[in-house]
Amino acid sequence: MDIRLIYYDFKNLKTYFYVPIFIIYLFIPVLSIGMVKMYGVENSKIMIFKEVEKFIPIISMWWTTFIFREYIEGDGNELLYCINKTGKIKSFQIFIIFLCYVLHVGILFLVGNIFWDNILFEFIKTVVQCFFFTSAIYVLIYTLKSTTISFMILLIYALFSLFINSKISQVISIFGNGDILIMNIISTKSLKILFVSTILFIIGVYKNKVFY
Amino acid sequence: MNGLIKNNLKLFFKTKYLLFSFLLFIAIINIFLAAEFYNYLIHEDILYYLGESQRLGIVYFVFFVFISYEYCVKNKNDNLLESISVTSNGKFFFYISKLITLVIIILIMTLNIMIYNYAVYFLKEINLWSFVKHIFLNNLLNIFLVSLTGICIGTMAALKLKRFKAYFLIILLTILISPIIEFVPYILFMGFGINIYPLMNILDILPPNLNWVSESLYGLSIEPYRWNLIIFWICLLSSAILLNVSSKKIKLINYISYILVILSIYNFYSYMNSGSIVKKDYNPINFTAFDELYYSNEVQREEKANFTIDSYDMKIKIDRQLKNYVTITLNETDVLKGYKFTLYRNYDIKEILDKDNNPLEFKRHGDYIDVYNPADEKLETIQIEYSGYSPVFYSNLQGVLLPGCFPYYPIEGYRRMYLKEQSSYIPIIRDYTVKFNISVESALDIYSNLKNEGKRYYGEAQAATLMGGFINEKKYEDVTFYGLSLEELPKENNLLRIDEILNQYKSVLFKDQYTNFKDMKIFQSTITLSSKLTDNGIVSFQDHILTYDLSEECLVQGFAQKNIPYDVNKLKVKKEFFDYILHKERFINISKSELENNMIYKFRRLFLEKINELGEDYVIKKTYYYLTDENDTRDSELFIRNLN
Amino acid sequence: MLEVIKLHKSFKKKEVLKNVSLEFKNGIYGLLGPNGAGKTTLIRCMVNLYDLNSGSIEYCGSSINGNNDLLSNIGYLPQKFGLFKELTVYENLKYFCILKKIYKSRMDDEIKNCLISVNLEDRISHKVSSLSGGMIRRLGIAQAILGHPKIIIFDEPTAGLDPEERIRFKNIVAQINKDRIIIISTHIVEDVEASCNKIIIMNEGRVLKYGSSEEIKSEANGKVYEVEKNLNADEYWYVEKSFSRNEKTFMRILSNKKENLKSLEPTIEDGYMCIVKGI
Repeated sequence: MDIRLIYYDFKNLKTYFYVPIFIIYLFIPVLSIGMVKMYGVENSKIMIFKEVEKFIPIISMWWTTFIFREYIEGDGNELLYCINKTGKIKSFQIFIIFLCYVLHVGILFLVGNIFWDNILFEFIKTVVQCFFFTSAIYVLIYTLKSTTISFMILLIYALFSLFINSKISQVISIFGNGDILIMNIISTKSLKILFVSTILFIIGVYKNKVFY
Repeated sequence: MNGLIKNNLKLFFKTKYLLFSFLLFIAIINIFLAAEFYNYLIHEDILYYLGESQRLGIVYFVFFVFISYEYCVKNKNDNLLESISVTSNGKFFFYISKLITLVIIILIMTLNIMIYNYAVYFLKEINLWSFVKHIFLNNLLNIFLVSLTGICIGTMAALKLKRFKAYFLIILLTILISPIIEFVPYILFMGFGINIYPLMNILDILPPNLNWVSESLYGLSIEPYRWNLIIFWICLLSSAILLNVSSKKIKLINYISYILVILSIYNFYSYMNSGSIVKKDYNPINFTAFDELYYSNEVQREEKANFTIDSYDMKIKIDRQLKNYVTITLNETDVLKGYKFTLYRNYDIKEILDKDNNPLEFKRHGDYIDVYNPADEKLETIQIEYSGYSPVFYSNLQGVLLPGCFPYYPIEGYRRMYLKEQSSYIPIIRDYTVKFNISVESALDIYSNLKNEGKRYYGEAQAATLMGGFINEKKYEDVTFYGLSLEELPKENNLLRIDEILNQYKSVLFKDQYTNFKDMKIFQSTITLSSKLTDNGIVSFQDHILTYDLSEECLVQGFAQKNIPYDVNKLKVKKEFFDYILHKERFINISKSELENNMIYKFRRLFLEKINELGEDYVIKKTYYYLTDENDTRDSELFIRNLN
Repeated sequence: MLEVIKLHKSFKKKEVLKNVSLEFKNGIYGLLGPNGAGKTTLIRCMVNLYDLNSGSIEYCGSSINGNNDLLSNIGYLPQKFGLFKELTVYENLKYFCILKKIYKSRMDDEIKNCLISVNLEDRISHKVSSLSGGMIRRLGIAQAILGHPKIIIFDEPTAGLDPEERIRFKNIVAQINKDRIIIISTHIVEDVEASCNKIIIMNEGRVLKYGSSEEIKSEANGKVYEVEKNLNADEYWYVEKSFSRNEKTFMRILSNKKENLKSLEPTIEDGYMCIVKGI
C-alpha cells in the first residue's frame, strides 16, 4: 500500500475533499466563537463540545464514503483488488484516511486547548466516535455494496441517537450529549465504543476480503 | 401501469441493499414505537406518544431521500433508461411508476405509525373525534408528506445531477433539514447578529416543538403554514420531475406541471403570511425569544389612565391570526386630549375611529397607544380595528389561548406586561368590571368566562378569557371547569368540596371578604400559561381562575388571589406568603446550609427570620394586609425589613 | 507459459467453471462463448480476484495465487472501465503505476509510451471525465499494458465501441503482442477471427474447443446450407440467419444431417455455433 494512492484518492474528490476541512477549520470555529460571545469562555465549553459532537463524528465518514465509492461502485473497480495480493484488503487505506481526519481534528482541539483546560478527554472521546463511524461505514459498504445506503444508515443512526429521546437510543448512542467528561466515562463508555468499533473493523476486513 | 408498478415493487424488494435497509428501517421503527408504547402504558400521555412518533419524520425523510435516489439512479447506470426513452412516453411511465411504487411504500410505513397512534388513542378512551383527526393530519403532514418531499428530492437528484453532486446535495439537504443544524442559526444570531432564520425556515419541513412539553390545548403543530411550505416543495419538485421525464409533446403533462408551479407559488405566498404559529425554537420572532429580546430593553411603562372603560363590543375573527374590530365605550370625567391604551405590540392597528366613524390620530410605541382627541368634547366611544398575533398567546385555526390578563384587546392606561427578571408575563387585571359583548368567528369551539350564546359571548367581568382547542367543559355543582381533554387532572373531585377546602384557610386568607365561588369558572392552564405567567400561571379574576392543577393548594391560592391586587413589587413577598401557608412543611424544612448559601433563598431567609423574631401569626397577618392594601406601595424587600 | 489446471469454481451451489484446463503460450488467444459461459469468472480467477475451489493457475510452473511478482506481470482490462474520472489521464495512469509498483524513475516514460500505443498522448493532461467512451476504453488498455506485463487479459474490450474504435483496438493488439500472452474474452466472433492465433470456446463452464480459427471453421464443414424460407423447416436445422436476395427470403442453416440442399463454405461463426449448439 503506497501512501501516494491516498493522495490521488483525495484528489479525485475535487472540491468535495474540502467539506471536512471547511467544517473543521471554519464552521466549528465560527460556531465556537459565537458561543463564546454568548456565554463566555468557561460557560461555553460544554455547549461547544455538544455541538462539535453533532458534526465531527458524522463528517468522519465523508472522505471514506466518497473515496470508497470508486472502490465499491466504480466501473472496473475489480482492478483495484487484483493487482497484488495485499491490495485486496483496503483496511490500511481506511485507517490512513481516518488518521488524516483525526490529524485535522487534533489541530482543532489543539487550538481549543489554548482556551479550555482538560480537553484531552473530549479529544479521546471524539476520536473514538470517529473510529466508530469509520469502522461502521467500512463494514456497511462492503456488506451492502452501496456507499449511499451505508451513509444513510449511519446518518439515521446518528439522528436517532442524537435527537430521538428513547431508552433504545440511549442504549445504542455513542454520543455524550453534553455530559461532563470524566476519566470514568472515558474508561467505560469510550472503551466500550472502542471495543465495538474494533469488532466492526475486523468484520469490515472480513467483508472486504470476500468482496470479490 | 399496474404491471410496471408490480415489477417495480419486485425490483425494490429484490435489490439486496434496498431490501436490507428497508427491513432494518422497519425493524428500528417498530422497536422504537413498541418501546414508546410500553412507556405510554406507564405515563399515559397520549400527546407525548404522538409527539414521539412524529419525531420519526426526520428518519423517514432521510430514508426516502437516499432510497429514492438509489432506486432511480440504478436505472440510469444500467442504461435501461435509454431503451425506455425511445418508447412512447416510456420514460414518463417508467418514472411515474417508480414514484408510485415509492409512494406505496411510504403509505405502508405511515400506516405503521398510525396503527400505534390509534392503538394508544383507543386505550386512552377519550372519545375525541378532533384528536382522531389530529392524529391523522399529523401523520399525513409529518410522515407522509415529509417522506414524499424526500422522494421528490432524491428523484430530482437522480434525474439531474451527477453522482458526486447528487451525493453532496442530498447529504447537505439532509443536514440542513435535520435538527443537527438547529442550534446554528441561534448561535449566528446571538453571537454575531446574523439572522439566517428566514433562509433556514424555508427548509423547515419537520415538526417543531417536539423537545418541549406538549401544549395540550393545541396539540402538535399542524398549522396551515406548515402545509403551505411542504406543498410548496412537493409541487415545485414534482413539476420539475414531470417536466424532466415527459416528452414536450404531451400537452396534458405540461399543463399539470404549470399548475403545480402555480400551486407552489401560491403556497409559498401563503407560507410567507403564516400568521399565528406555535414554534418554540430560538428564532427571534417566535415563542421563546420574541418578547424576551424585546422586553430586555427598557420599553415598558406604567401610567394609570384618567378614564375607565364601560364596555367592549368586539367582533373577533380567528383564522390564521386574530382580527378584531372593537368598539370601546369610555367613561371620562373630563374632556381628554389623549387616551392611553395598552395593546400587545404585534397586533397591527389598521385604523382608529371615533363614534361618528371619523378617523382619529394615534401614535403607537410598542405595546402602547396614544389616541388623540381633536375635538373639545369627550370621545365617549373609540373604534379600533387591528389584526396580528402573539407568538406565545396563540390564536389560529388550531388553538386559541387568549387569557383575559393578556392585552389582546386594548386595556386602559400604560401597563407593564413582562417581568424580564423571571422571563414571564405579568397578568394585567383591572380592579373593576366592564361589559363585554363579543362575537367570535372561529373554526373552533371557543370557551370563555363570559356567558355564551352560540358564537356570542357577553356579560360583565374584569376581562374576557377565550380558549379553544382540545378543551372540554364539565360542571361540578356551582363550578364550571374547562379542562384540557388530553391532560386529565387528578383530584377533579376537589371542585365538589371547594367550600370545605377554603374553610381551612378562612381565618388567614379570607377574613374580610369570604370568597363567593358560586358560578365560578375554572380554566386549566396550559403549559404555556403555567410557564410564561408569573405565579406559575395561577391567575385569579372575580369570575374565573386559571390554574394548572386542582390540588387544594392551587385552588386556595387561586381563590385567595382574588382579594389581592396584582402588584409586581409585591411578588416576592406574595410567593413566600403563599409558600409558607400552603406548603409549610416544605418551606421550613430546607436545610440550613442551603438556606444560607443558596441565593434563591435569600428572601426566604429574611421572611423566616421575621417569623422567628416576631411570631408566625403576626408576620402572616401583617403580610396579608400589606398584600391587599393597594395604597401600600413599598416593595417586597422594604416591607420585610420594615416589619417589626 | 500460463497453465490453467483442472480449475473448478462455484458460487454457492452453482458451479460456474467445471474442470477447466488450458495452456497459453505467447500469442493472442480469443476466449469465445455465449453470455454466462464462465469467461469472466475464468478471467477473474486468472487475475486472482476469485479464490479457486480446486485446481490451479500457474505461470512458468509457479502458482500465481498470491504471488505478487507474477500478478504484477498480468495486465487486465475489465468489462467496464471508468475509475477516477476526476483525475487527469496522466494522474490516472500514475495511480496504476503505483499500484503495479513501477519504479518512480520509470513511471513517466511508461505512461508516455503506453499513451502513444493507444494514441492518447495528446490527452495526457485532460480529465478522464472529458474523454469519450472509446477513449476511456483506450485508457483502460493503456493501464493494462503499463509495466510491460507478460500476460494481458481483455474482458469484452470492444463491447459498445463503434467500428473505428474496434479497428483501432485490433491495431493496438497487433502492436503489443510480441513476447506476450494476450487473452481476449468476447462473444463477438469477428473480433477474434482476424487477430487471434488460438480460439477457446466455452459454454456452461466447460472448454468445448481449443484450436486455431481454421480448426474452428472445420467444425462446420458440410453442415452449412442455404434454403429458401418457405421450405418446411426440419427440426434438426439450426437457423443462423435470414436474408433476402432477388425478392426471395433465404435462411442460412446448420444441420448435422446430410441435406440435399445448397451447401455453403463455413465461416468461423458457423464453426462456433456448431460447437456451442452441439451440431
